[in-house]
Amino acid sequence: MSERGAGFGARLARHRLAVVSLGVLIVLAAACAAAPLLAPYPFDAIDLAHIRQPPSLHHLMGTDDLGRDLLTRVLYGGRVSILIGVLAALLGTGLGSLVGSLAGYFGGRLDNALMRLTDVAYSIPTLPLLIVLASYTRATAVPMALIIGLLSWMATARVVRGEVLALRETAFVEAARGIGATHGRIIVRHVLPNSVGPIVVGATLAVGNAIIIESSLSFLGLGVQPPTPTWGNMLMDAQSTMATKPWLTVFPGAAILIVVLAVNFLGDGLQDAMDPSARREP
Amino acid sequence: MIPLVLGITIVLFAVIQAAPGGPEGALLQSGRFIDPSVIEAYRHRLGVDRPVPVQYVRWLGSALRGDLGISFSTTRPVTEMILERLPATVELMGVSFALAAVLAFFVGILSALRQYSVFDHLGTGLSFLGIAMPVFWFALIVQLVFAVELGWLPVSGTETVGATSLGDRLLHLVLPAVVLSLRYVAGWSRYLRSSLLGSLRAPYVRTARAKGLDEVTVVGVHALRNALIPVVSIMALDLSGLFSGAVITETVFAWPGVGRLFVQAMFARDYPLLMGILLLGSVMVVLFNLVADLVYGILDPRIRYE
Amino acid sequence: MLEVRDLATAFHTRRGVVRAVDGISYTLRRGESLGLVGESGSGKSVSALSLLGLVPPPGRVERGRVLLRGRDVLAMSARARRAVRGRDIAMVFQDPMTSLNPVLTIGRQLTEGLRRHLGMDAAGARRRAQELLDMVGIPGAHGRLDDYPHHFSGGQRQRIMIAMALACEPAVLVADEPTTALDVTIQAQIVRLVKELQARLGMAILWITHDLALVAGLVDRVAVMYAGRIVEHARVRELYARPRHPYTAGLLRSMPAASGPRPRRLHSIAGQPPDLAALPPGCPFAPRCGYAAEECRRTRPELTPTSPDAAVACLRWREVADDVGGAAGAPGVRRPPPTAGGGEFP
Repeated sequence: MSERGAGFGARLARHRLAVVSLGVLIVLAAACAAAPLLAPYPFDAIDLAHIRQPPSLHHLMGTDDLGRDLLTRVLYGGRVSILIGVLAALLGTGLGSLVGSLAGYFGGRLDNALMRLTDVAYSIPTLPLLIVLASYTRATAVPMALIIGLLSWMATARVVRGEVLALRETAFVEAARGIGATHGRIIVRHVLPNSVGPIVVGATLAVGNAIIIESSLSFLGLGVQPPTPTWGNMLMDAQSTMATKPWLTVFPGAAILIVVLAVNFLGDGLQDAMDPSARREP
Repeated sequence: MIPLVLGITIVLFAVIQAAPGGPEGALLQSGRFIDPSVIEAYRHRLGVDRPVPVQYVRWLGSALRGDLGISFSTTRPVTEMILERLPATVELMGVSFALAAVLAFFVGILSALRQYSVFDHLGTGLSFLGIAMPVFWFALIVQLVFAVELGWLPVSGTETVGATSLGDRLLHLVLPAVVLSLRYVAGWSRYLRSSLLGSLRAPYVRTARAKGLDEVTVVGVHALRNALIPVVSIMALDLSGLFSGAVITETVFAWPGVGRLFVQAMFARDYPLLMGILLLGSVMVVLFNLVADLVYGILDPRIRYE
Repeated sequence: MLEVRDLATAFHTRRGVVRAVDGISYTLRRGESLGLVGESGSGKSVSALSLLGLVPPPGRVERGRVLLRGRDVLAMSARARRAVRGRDIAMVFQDPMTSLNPVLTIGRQLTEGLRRHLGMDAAGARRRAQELLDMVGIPGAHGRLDDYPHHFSGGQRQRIMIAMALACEPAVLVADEPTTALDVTIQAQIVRLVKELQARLGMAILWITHDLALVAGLVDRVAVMYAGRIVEHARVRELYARPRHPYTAGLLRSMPAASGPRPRRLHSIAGQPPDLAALPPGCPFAPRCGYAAEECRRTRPELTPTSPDAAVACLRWREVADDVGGAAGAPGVRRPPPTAGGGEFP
């Protein structure tokens, strides 16, 4: 296992795109986290004298209908969007790993039942279901992250189940059983560490997915409400303002795009680095 | 398939029950006035004073009979409202799916055959972009550029008032279909590319070449048939995403389909309508997956029932 | 019939140029069978693929001529070469599980070549396909054309591969380790089948294998490959009785003996196969050779004829031949050659 780790860093470093993406993500996340320090204006500073300004030196991304600085709002919005994305991804991946390892390890009826559940979850269109669930919950960040995470476990579950199934037959699992290790211990200490690769990749990609879902929900008016900005809710009124104030549409959306793109490149690079033999084959 | 649909109904029923304040709480959610007869019909259909399993059976029974309840906001039967809008959604989803499949086919195969070429790199780059692109933003941008700024295509709707020509309808379809299909062209073409590359390295392709067959046959028949198999299952898996995407796309382009209806129902907290559409969407996905299974069986003889 | 002259194939990889085939030459006469023997990595499979121009990138045939009835296959246009493949020269590959296309019926896979090369129509091709299946011993051939590869066992699939190869009655059949992936009883069946078919159809056979014991009863002549070169070739009985190259002698010694004094330790050749990207100057076998002298490490030995139809690429072959001198027809050696310092096992 350490041998796998040794080559990993080198292989990842060779993926320039993934490394660049990682850098971009770190910079962006840091910038958003440091928003109170970095932002030129308070995020709710209404300046009616300067409403609807296109980008300029004073307002690098322009201002909105209430004269608020867009760059500031994008930075603050990033905090919410990224936070929700990461939380949801963690939850989803954690849940998925649990489900996948239980299904793969114990097999039989439990596996059957869990896989049926996965099929059901895959069949119900995610966004509409989330829209309904979002209408039930308070419109704040953590509940949003929870419900998004609740519907992101399936992909990880499938992958982990596959890994566990393969590992279950190996000698060292049998050996562990032979010396009396409990199932739980075997799963946690032996099986899961070997599936870390796909889990990490899955988690990375899940972040991007979650951010897109969160912004879609915000765009529709669900989720975190104004005046707290999220990249999604800043686009709520975009349709009516697009023609005359395109910057209001372009910048928040571009932020989403850049983060998700970077996350995907990173995930791809991680995947290649973890398993160079599979230049991604089905 | 039946157990799957049953499982779906159980989950959806649980969602109804999970509303804060229970299913009756849903009535209060919208905060607007609802006709008492509608309320009574709702309570009756759900049997809210009965034990939960009975409620489930009643609800399921009604649904199977085609009764999905009465809409809170319009007091019309949900089923009727859905059926009205369904064709438009099917049209949009169908065209988008076909468009995505054709383009993905083209791009995926060419990328695999010309691996590492400019075309390939471009294709991969655009694929990443397509997968990362939020649907609603892409819709907005595209609408801004092509409809508002350039005026080449209509902004919204399915047809211009008064016009009934096919051409007009097609023009209206372009933007929504392109927007909806982007994510899937991107995903499927990448998948097809890697699948085909894998097939081309397989021993049976070497055998085919050793037999002296021409490249078109080797790639198009021997390699492609095998390469398509996993791609088809991905395409089936993406169907539910297509529906989700349709919800957004229809909203941005004011396309009069079930997705747009869903969003309108959301604003009105019209739960019977919301759940009805959710149920329909899920059933649609299951049906399409069934079709996909059939196609899968045609492509891969190893899994056919003997 | 088939003459290979100075064939060389190299792979241009990131680590360097790997000379998988480094200038081999042999002839195959009509109806003759030649065994090409060598361990993994000796280049024998690559040489076979090179004959038909089937080497995948980053491999490339660097030089050489493959003359089929006088015409150089490697110099042909791609189109002309495709006409040769399957029709004049046919190949059978190692693993029948993966060498047949799993999603096409065997009928389709059998008739493809017939329709392409011989222009047969569908019905005619099907009839011929049934004949072919009968010929290779697939029972119930009539109904099986519409079956898929996964309906057949490993041995049967290899028979189908052979049927596919022989469909157009090629002049040359190249068999690349066709029995390696099969179990021993099936191996014997396949070998028997091929011999029968050769007697019947009269084609020349190039049989590639790592198993010296296998070719003993099968071929007329044997060529031994090491590090991409042919180090010895001779008629089969001659080679077994009197090997002239230390490597050949080593191979023969390492065959478990079914008869003779028991127990006998299994011998192996000391050392490792060479890295084809970094071959030493001089004889590539020198590091492992018990006969190696200074000049062996300096100059690369060329194939020199030792008799009208045998040759060896070794500067010390006479000593090897003297050490060996066994009774005609008996495989194995009398006196063990000196080992290359290191004992019997690596």
